Amino acid sequence: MKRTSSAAGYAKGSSWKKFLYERKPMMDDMKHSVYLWKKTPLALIGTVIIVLFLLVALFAPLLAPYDPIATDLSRKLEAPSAAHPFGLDQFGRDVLSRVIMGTRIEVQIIFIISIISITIGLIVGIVAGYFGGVIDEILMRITDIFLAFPRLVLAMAFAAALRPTLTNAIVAISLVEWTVYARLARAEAIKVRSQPYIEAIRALGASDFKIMFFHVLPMSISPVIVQLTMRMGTIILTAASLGFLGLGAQPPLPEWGAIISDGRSYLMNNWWITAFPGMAIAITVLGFNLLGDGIRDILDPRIRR
Amino acid sequence: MELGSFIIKRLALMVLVIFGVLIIVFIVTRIIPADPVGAILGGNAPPATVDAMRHQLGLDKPIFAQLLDYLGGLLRGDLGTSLVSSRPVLTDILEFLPATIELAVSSIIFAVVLGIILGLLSAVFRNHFIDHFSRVFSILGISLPGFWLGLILILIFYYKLGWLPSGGQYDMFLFPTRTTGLILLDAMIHGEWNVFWNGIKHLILPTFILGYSSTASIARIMRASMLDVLHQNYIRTARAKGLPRKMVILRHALKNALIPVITIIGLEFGSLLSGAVLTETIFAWPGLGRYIVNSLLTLDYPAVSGGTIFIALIYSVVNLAVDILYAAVDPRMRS
Amino acid sequence: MQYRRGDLLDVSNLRVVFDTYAGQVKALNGVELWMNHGERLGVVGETGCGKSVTALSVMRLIEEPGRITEGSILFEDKDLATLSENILNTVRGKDIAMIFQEPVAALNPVMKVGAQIVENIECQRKSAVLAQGARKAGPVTDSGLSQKHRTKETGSVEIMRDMLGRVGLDWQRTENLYPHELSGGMAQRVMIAMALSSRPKLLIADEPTSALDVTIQAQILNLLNNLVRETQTAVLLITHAMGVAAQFCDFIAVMYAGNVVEYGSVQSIFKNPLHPYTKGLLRAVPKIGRTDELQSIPGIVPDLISPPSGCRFHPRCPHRRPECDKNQPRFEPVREELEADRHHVACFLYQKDL
Repeated sequence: MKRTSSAAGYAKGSSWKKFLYERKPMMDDMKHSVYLWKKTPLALIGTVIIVLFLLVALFAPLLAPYDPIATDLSRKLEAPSAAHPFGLDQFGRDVLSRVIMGTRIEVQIIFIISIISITIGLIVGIVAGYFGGVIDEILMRITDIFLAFPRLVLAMAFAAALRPTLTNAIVAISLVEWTVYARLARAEAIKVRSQPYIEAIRALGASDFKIMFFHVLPMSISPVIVQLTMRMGTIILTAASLGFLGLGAQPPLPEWGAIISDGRSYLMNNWWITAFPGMAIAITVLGFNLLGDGIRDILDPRIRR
Repeated sequence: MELGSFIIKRLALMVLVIFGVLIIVFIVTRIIPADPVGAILGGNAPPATVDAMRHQLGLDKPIFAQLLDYLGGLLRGDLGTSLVSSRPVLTDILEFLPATIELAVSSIIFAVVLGIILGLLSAVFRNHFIDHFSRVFSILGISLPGFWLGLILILIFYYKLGWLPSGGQYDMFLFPTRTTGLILLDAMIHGEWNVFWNGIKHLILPTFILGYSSTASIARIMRASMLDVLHQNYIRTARAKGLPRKMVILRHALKNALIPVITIIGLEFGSLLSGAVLTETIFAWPGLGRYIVNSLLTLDYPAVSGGTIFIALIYSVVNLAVDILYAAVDPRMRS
Repeated sequence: MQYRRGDLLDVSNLRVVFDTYAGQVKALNGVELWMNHGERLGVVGETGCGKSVTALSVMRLIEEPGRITEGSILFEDKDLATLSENILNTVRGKDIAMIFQEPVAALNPVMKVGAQIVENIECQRKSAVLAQGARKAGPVTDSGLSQKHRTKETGSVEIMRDMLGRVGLDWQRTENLYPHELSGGMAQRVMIAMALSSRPKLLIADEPTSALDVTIQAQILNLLNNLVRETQTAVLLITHAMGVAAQFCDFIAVMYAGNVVEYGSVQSIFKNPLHPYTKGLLRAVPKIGRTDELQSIPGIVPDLISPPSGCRFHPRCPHRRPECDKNQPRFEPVREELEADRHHVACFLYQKDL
């Protein structure tokens, strides 16, 4: 009795060992990634910025000292002071509170655009790459047409046609942004399609939809997510640009680009309305770019060596 | 020979894409807007006026007939009439185009020259001071919002220091002779040197703002590409020949490293045109970008449609040129 | 001061390290090898044993993060290990030329192959003029230099065409091609033409045939054999194939984990292999008419970041002794044999004072 159990224990131990041994390259790889991460101070700084950004967005109502929308015309355009470190705007609103509350809008922008554009991109890319032939040709030419416009110009046109609101700006940017992921997903789908195991699965009678959903999609997601991280900065800049041009979030929403647009008329004497939200954009975008650079470097086989 | 057929293939593709561009612009300006007439006349116009307007714009016809009208008009060079200026859109565009070309060309030259030099030095002197400087400069270039940086620079160089003008192509009291519409070129042709220098002064900030992010991207790609090339076997061969380091870099590494940069220049031109919209708005630059923004805000759909088509056309032609350049530089691309 | 062993090349105690994220890779651990003018030396060993690093070190082509930490590379009257980059460039290509494992990748993809050969010829001309000028210690005027250069320049294209012919290529068809239009075999011929166009004293061939088809391999080796025989060029051949080295070379250096463990004439190495690793290698070579089983050497090539102490082969060695993991064995001549065989070995089994 005892003997069998120890034998079983041994067998169990060895299979556990085997499990670990088989996964050692993967584990080493992950350890190596973490190691490289720590070795890349800029990626670390980027991570810290983004974590702070998300925390500020999460606790924005607690952190904002004043109501971001409440006006007080008697104190309009007051310069930065201890009570109002970022000063007051043309309606006497606290700029710091508006910038802090603005983080929520930016998070919302990033989140929704990511979801919409990735969904469109993955569907178009996977279908094009998986089926190939005429379908691929048609879908890729459509993608080319979207790419034939400078991004912001097309986003502006969509945003204006849909009526300028924050939601429509988000939709407009998504309609421009998906092409990036479509191309990536297509490349990945083409790679996966020609794998022998896919042929085997097809021979076993799996439907095209099943193969695309369960085999091609999971393979395509990680490069798309990596690319998305690298494009976050651009997405924020585009959204802020639309806001600045008056084609995105409308007053009194404290979207950073829209606040800068407000401050523009008061630039000469009341620089703080413009300066601080711009810095907020710059720091956030910098954070995403540093993070994206770090991820790219860590995944780059040439640097990995 | 192969280059010729490559160009033809690429041209055919471009025609196809341009057709698609026209369709998208049609959809965006004629179908999505719920009520263009209401937008033009305001909400409270009498029904008869609305119907008359609909008829005048051809909006009472079926959508396909509208599309055919639109495409037919484009073929005749008729982009419609601006609802704001009441002039043909094409006339408006041709008036504003030269300013955009001037700004875009000076910015792309600035970006390409500075970007390549920074990237090259950054790679060759990896981890030295110049590399650190160039990398900080680059990451800021792609992170700082251009429209904001532009305002800050106006605050500093115009309001505070008074060194540079705040906007426009030249000072209002000057009346330059127009020939090509390109202010600097015209000034040189007519020997109006005061206009020329005035124009240069006005060009400095917009060029920097518009070119900065492209400079940054080009420098980053150039650095990565150069570092990659410097590890290639043929560089080792060149060193084994006993070529001095300078020759190895200039004769063997540079041309190979520039190949990916050329592709990026085409893409950068796109972001440059996007940026022109913002830069022109900030610096009151009388170009196509500002025209489009104003048209969008005033719901001047014919103007939006014409301007957008023009911008897409410019971008496509530049990309075509870049692709051809690419094929000409890299012999591997031709076969 | 050590006495001079080979009048062309004498590498002694060469140590090279690579600083990587994971730690310092001690790639070369005191390499010893030498050769006279016109001789052919084969360096053999497994992948990662440091053969290629040795070859690149001789030309001082080791790149960041690698560096030579110790040792000397005497080439004729110069120590290449300490020479300034400028003077080194008069040796590279002119006195020592090199061909590589992947010939297509070794050619600049955006330059026509003819132009790449001409570039080498002209570069060596300049080196020759500079070297001569330096030797005479007389002033070399700029005009004189360019004049000399110009008159000779006319000949460079002819030399290039002649060299292409010698390596069996039709210059009319080849000189205007780009590297990607060549097959591996053709590209290696171009590399050989380029390397030999300056009539070097030493040709370093780093696995010149490993990336090629088997039939092409033999052609290239024959070609190389004929060309260097004509010109009496010395060859340092890096290869993992014992058979190739035996066929082509006069001497063999067997490398293991950054050391030359055995060195000597082809006969002495094949007839009387001494080092356990060499014996193992020879047992792993297939031969026609051989009836005994092919044997592999048990164990794996060691990690050079933390290499085994003492003799780096000891964990795999069937004749391990207690001292093997404590000290590095000295590289010593085998006294019983003819001096002409230059048979040397680094192994405690043969150390006389033990």
